[in-house]
Amino acid sequence: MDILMLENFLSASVRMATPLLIAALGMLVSERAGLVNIGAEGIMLIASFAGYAGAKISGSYWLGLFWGIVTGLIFAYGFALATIRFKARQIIVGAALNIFCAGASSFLYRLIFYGTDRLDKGIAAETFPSMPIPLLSRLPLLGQMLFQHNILVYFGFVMVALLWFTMKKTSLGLKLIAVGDHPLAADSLGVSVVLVRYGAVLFSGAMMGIAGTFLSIAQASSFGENMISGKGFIAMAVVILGKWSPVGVLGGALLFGGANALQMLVQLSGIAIPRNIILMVPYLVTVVAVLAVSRHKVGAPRALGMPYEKQ
Amino acid sequence: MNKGMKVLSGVLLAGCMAVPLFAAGSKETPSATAPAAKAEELKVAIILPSSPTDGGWGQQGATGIKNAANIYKFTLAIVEAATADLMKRESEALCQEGYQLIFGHGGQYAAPFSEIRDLYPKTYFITAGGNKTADNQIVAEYVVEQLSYIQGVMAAKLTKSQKLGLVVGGSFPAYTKTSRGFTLGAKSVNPNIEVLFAVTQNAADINEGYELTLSQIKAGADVVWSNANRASQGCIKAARETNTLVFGMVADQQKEAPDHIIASIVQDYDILYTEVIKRYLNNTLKGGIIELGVPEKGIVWVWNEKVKAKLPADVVKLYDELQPKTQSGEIYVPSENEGW
Amino acid sequence: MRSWIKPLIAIASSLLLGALILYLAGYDTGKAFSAIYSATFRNLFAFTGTVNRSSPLIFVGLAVAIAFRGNVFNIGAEGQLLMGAVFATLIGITFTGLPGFILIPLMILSGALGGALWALIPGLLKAKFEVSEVITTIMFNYIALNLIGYLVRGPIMDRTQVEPQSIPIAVQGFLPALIPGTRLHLGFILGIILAIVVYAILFKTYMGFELRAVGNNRDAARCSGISVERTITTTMLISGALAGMGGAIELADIHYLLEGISPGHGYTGISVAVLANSNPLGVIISSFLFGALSSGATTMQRMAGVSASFVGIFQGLMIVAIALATVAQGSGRHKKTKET
Repeated sequence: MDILMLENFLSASVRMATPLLIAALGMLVSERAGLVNIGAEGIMLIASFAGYAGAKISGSYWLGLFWGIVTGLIFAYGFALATIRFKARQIIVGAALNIFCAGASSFLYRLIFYGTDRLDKGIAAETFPSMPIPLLSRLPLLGQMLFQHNILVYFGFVMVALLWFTMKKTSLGLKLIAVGDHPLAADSLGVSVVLVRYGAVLFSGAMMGIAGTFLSIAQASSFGENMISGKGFIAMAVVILGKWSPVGVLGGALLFGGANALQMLVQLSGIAIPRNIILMVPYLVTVVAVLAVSRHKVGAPRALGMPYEKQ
Repeated sequence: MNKGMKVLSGVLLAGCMAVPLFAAGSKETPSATAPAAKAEELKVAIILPSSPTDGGWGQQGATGIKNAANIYKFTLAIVEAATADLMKRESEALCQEGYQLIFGHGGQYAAPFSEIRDLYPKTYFITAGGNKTADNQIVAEYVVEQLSYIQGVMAAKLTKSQKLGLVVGGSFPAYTKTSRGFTLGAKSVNPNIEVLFAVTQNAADINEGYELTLSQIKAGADVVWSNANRASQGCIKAARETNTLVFGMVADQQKEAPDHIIASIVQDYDILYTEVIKRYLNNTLKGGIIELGVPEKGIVWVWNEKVKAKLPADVVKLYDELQPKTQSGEIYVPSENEGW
Repeated sequence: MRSWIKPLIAIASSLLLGALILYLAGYDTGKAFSAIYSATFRNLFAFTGTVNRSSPLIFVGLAVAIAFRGNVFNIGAEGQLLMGAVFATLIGITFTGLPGFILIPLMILSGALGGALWALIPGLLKAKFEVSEVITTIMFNYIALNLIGYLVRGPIMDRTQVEPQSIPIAVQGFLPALIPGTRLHLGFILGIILAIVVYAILFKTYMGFELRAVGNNRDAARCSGISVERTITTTMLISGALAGMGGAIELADIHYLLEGISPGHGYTGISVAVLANSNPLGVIISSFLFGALSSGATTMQRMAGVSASFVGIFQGLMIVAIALATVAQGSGRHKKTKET
């Protein structure tokens, strides 16, 4: 394996890690507030459709991103309403979201693009261009890996730093953690648990929207039915792997992105390991890692998954 | 859960079982299919492995049969069935309803069809690709591999790095016949040319196509090619972004990369569906293989004029030179069911 | 009598909402709904088709329902179903000399074993280390899918076929048709029997009592001497075994293993269980409902042009409606155990 292949592998790892990273950061925040949304897969899917449709119809990928975020916010709000206000069980609402969004995204795609002239100029929509950072992108290895990507990838990195700072050093961050660990105590100290939870879920919705949009108009240039292919669930695993901390999540996302890129590398270098075996690796790694993490019994917000009853 | 619920479940279940006995107009027996003499009596169904609007394989089938429907004005049903159990169930349901022609858009329908065809001898089963034939089962073969051979020759002449990148959507003959043809063509120019080959795990995963082609380009390939259903969209994007020349397959893909697609091999499925229906109405439809190539207009080489203008003249000439030879067999390019 | 009002309202309101969406999108709502109805009740053949489609659903529905009762979120029914199919395949292609009345039950039992084994590790991890079963079971789903991908492209691949699939099981392993002229097989009937058995276990045995006690309030159960670890593991084992049996039956119906053998039955099973409020007898009805929706999807596409994926919208609406109704009625079990 030569240096070119290694460079490409690293760069692909980062690229494939990005949607996982962004989605996982969003889920990290909402889980810290006590809400686990397994409907992330569905929200990412319908957001990726909205992003594609927005970009295709308007010709601008920024507008596509806008619609992706808006869609993520809408469905996240639905989740928040059902689970916070109506106290329905989070896992069930999440499962319903997955099923609904899969059906809705396919349905809407056909409704809007089938039999119309919108695809006459081709299916490809405008996509985010690569923005190499001057000077830094010339570095060997690291240059390709970290500094020659589109803006959403950089956004992911920036968010890791931002969230780390917020959670460790600001009162907002403390409130978030308190609400997820001891909602009753937080409430008695004057923190509006409900408000923080809504905010956290909405934030996660926006992040899922961005992650979904990345998949359709940054990495690819079109929408495919069910194109998320399980990345929403993997993002959930990344949060656990990362022990609910932004930097940990970054590591977990890179691990998965790397495993995915590894599969392609092995194919191209002709090593005779069956592809399916390699593809199993990220999932096996998650199970082992999740087990290893649990033995230390750290990380999970203590009130995760429980609806908050105001006393 | 109380006794009331138990009783209710029992009643509902019994009721459900009884309703069909009262269903009006219950007429079907397995061989109810009556051959249609006129187009108006004809009921044709096509089973697609993916959505009719997927921008790839499924859409080609849907468009093809709809064009035939516009010409012959028969009753058309478009059904989606991607998994083996659904293929059998849906095709049987269609047979039961008296459909005379059932098309399966893809070689994977050959096996499920072969399991039910004997029950419905008056129904014709036609698959696009595949390897099972009978009196009432037909395989339509698009001999695309003959033209991908020519693409391979051209690629070998255009490459400066002597490295080519290929991505296919599956590791079975329907796909690999084309990559095999391409590789044979390339090696006929330079036996030592390096062909980087990859298979997508999921032929609908555009991101995967993108990443695979991109890695090939980064590894030095300066002409790329993909036949990977929708994933090809990603492959073309990678070529576009890195300013790499790329060949198109299946449909005219120059819209996706107007400055980089050299030529596409268009598989015209209108021809298949129209031809089969024409033969059926003329009573000349027989079981076996129907070969569709250039003379039948089943496969068409479509230049991207913009890029063609920039190519060296001896490369452009290659098409007219080589096509008759691949067709006649003077240059032997093995087809889907040969040479494995 | 109250316990079925909730699901009924959920079904009715989601159908109404779905109808509204269809109407607003410009489709012929009446045609769409009559297509869904006729897909099941048109005649006996159609009805038995729906019954067959409901067969895997009743198994995974029971699997998820019994797990829910124990407060275990078995999202892994899909992977357990797949492993059941794998084990059944291995038996079916190995013991080709056995007569049908031994081979088929053997395949089903091996399916139960496969599913149970696949649920064992996530179950143990949850029981002993409180590792979230949501994550582990989803991961195992993907591992199972890739295992099948490996098997059908390698060790048990049928090289005469176009698509990657396994060599077929022995003919004696094919599920026989119970009513001549239809394809009805024993799957759903076995499912009904198992539903009654599961109901009996849950509500009439001490083991079921323990299971439900742990599901309701883990700490209280532990205090009263119930071994929580053992109970959780047992719950997962039974759940996995049920899902695995469903997979074995699907395999025996399709006759060979392939990657697409389950279009997500395991995930639909969650909807089935939720709609039935995790009541095994209710699962009988709710699995039939979802089977009917699934049959209706393709017919609806054919007759009213509505994309088949629309039933996902119906399903999603139903589940949300049920989830809301559960809380609204206040009859939801007061969970004192964290759900992660």
